[in-house]
Amino acid sequence: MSVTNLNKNTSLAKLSVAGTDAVWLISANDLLMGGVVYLTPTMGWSRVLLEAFTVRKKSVALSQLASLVADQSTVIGHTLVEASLHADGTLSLLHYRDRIREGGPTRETLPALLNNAPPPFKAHELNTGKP
Amino acid sequence: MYRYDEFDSTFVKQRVRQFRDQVARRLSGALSEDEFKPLRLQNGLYLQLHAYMLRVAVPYGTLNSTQMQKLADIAERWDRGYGHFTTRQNIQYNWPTLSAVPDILDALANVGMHAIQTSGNCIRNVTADHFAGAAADEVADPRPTAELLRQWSTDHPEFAYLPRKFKIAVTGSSNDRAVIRAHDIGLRIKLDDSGQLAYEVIVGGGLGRTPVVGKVICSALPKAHLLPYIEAILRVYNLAGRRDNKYKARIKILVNSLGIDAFRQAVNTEFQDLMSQDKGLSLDPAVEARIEQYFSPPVFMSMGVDEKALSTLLSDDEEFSRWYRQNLSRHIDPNYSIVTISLKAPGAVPGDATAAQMRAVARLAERYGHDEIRVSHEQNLVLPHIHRSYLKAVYEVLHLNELATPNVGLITDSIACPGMDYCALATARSIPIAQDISTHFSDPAYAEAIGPLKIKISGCINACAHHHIGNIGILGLEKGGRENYQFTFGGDHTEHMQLGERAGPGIDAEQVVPAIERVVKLYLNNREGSKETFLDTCRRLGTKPYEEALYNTSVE
Repeated sequence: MSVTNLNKNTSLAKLSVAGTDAVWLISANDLLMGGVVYLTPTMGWSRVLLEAFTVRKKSVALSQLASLVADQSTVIGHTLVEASLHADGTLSLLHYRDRIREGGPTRETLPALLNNAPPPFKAHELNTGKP
Repeated sequence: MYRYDEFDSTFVKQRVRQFRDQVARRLSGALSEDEFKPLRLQNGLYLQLHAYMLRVAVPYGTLNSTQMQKLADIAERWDRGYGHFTTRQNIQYNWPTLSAVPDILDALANVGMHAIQTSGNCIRNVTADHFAGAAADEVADPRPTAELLRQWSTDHPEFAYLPRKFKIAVTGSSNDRAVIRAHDIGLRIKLDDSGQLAYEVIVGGGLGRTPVVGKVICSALPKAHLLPYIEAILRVYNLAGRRDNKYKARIKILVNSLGIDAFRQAVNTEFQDLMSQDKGLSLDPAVEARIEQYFSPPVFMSMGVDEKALSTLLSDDEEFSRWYRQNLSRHIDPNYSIVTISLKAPGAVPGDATAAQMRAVARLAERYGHDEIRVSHEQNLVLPHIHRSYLKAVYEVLHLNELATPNVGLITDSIACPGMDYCALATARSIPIAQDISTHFSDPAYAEAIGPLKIKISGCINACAHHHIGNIGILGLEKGGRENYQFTFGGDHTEHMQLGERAGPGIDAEQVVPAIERVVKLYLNNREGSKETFLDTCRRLGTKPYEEALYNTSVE
């Protein structure tokens, strides 16, 4: 999933992906960097969407979310994210808000801005340990 | 301009030390997020969609070149090389890390700046006319009043936990460039019947989900009574404002529920009480004089302007000529001009400036502009004092730095909030809409032919981009899981403030520009001469024809 998945010129809309499984992810923001992270199967946090732990039942995801919210030692702003799981294991985030969270601002700005920009947020900068 | 005294410096430095310690304790786990969040918000640090955002106050929109250089340094060292100037004359950094923020605040403190009270339910950054001290139409410079209010409101213990945030704006001109009627308190300096300076006090204005044009609570408040009167308003609000529902907690709701007469009576009772008990709140002339001396006008150069040479430069350079027509305003000294620097180049993000651009503006202010820069609520920068002999030189530097777009007040000079590209509260994007509009109408001759037209685009109902008072207002919402843009027509942000009339159902993003093109064509075909503005035509014809043009795709 990257910013290129966003249709930049039209209204963004919630996706409806036929032939895929609806799943739920738990996301948050890294305490130090503020960047978006996803809960992994080992109960750590990763910047990489494909490493996200997927849950099929919303009730299970909500219960998982409730148990995680109390611990804000490494991440904050816990939230539930709706996605589609494709046969090849890739994920599509359904709501456009979550796709923007994942991909970053949807438009390029001034060329000079991009030239001056430091490298984007990196996964290794995150605390990926168990919360 | 105002310079920190020892008290200010000590206070701000102390706050930085406190926050550095608070961040360290948060990262060590000694402070929970619940404990830390109000502390970071008090220092202007928000969590947005994909990063922290630090909002730095630019009191009454006034900066010197050293401060602007520092803002550029911060953008490069701790952010991604740019900053975003907001509709409340602040600057926001979109990508700081938590551990970097104390260093940023330290850097700001070194140049007399901070981020205190840029968030939370307190009195926020006091804003003012961005042409203050330079405008030919000014009765008095509003900045000494704004500075007095800044000193009074900073860390005011009684007003640190108001029912909701509280915004004050000041103008010293009858032409309102500070949107005072859309603030919790708006102040207009005027001459009273005896020719003395006084304040028209407006209360209960605001936009957001309940847009209200502020009402006059006092038509001519003697200058010396300013602080006790404002304190009285705040006291009444603090006690009677609702705290059970954040959507009904702003002072405008209280004023509307009591009625302006009853609210005025409550304020007057409190005011009389304050005056009888605490005469110390009345303005000490020595304090007033000390503050005012900081805002003494610069020593303007007495040399005249070679009008013939300037005229030749203008006739030889069409782009310079267009910029001269569009981006300059009348200065109190006829040898000078006020230069507005557009941050709305075609396709640019309204209000964004790179570090290189900030430095270019700083150098211009230092070399040609008496070291003064302003941030406007319309997300542009201003060089308030440029001798007209230097206009071409200033223009050349601006042009080299992509800062000479000749569109001030025109259709491409939109206001747009960060919207869902950054903001956690947004329901739709606003920046791409502004970019599409400025790209579509990028022909400067066409924009100039259309004439004055204010488009304001908000990405949610909180209305940070003031969409209700745009000539064309655009509000981005989510409808059925899809971005949807609702229009208003006929809004006016000036001293004749008027809320726009809402059109029918919203439209998709890709329909916005074609719809605006149809609306503009309708205006051009129906205006009575080139002097009749979009808003004038709107008032003459009503908004219905525009609403019809919005949906009438058969015209294409």
